[in-house]
Amino acid sequence: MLKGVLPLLLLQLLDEREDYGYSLVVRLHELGFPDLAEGTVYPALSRLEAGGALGSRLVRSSAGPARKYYALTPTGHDELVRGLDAWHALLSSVTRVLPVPHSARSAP
Amino acid sequence: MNVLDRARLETAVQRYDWWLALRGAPGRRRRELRRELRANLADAAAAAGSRTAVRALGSTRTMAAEALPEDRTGVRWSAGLSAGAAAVGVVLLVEFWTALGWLDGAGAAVAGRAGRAEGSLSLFPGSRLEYVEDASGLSLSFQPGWLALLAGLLVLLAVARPWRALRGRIQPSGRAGVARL
Repeated sequence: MLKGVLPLLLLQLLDEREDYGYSLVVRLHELGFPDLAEGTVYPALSRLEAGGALGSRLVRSSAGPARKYYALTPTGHDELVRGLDAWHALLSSVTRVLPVPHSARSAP
Repeated sequence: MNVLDRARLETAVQRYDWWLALRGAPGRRRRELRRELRANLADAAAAAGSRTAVRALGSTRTMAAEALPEDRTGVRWSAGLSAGAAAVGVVLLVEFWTALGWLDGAGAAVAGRAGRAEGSLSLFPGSRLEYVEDASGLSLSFQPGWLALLAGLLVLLAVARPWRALRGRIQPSGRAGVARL
């Protein structure tokens, strides 16, 4: 399920600021996706770049090889807006069908 | 980061590159993806150690498959050359071990006397072995024959699929023929 929404998450994070692969992984871990593997994020970035949603530039790093920083292109921005609309439409439909979780019902 | 850590990271990068090559990724794109993965792995290793960094990647084959759609039109020369060279190596290794067995037998047949034994390995056409023992000492010679080269060539062709280049050249004239009809 997460794989389907991962491009949207990456577009959103890159809309906030340009960033590189490993840093995006760390941000996603901190934002509540601790099990997300690097091997899932890096190919998703490559696909988004190949599709024209992201642009990139190499930035020298004192810690090692040059990092590839990604940023949203206008196409990527349009894709993000469309993706957010689709996601919220899906979410409202799903919440109409699915019951409230048991833990939430029993909360005071 | 010590040498072992660097070797671990580079092995993961090369495995990824191998799968990209098998999917027909062009050299320039592969270089870019290798460079990017190397930088990300260096950061991950600095934060969590090289072993964890490599493990977090998961399957490099799946990564390559998800990063690039397979190019079914290009000739995969670099993957073909690597696979062909590996095939030559494997056949030569088996042949070498078989030859050692033959030389053991030849040594036992000559058994310390001055003498000469000559033969070939029946499973490896074109091979030639010679065992000579005389007053000046022992001399061994071994020619591996052509099976290793043939195996390498067949594997190279099977993996590189050079006929794709021909198909690319033939198709435009074929389309023109259809258009004339």
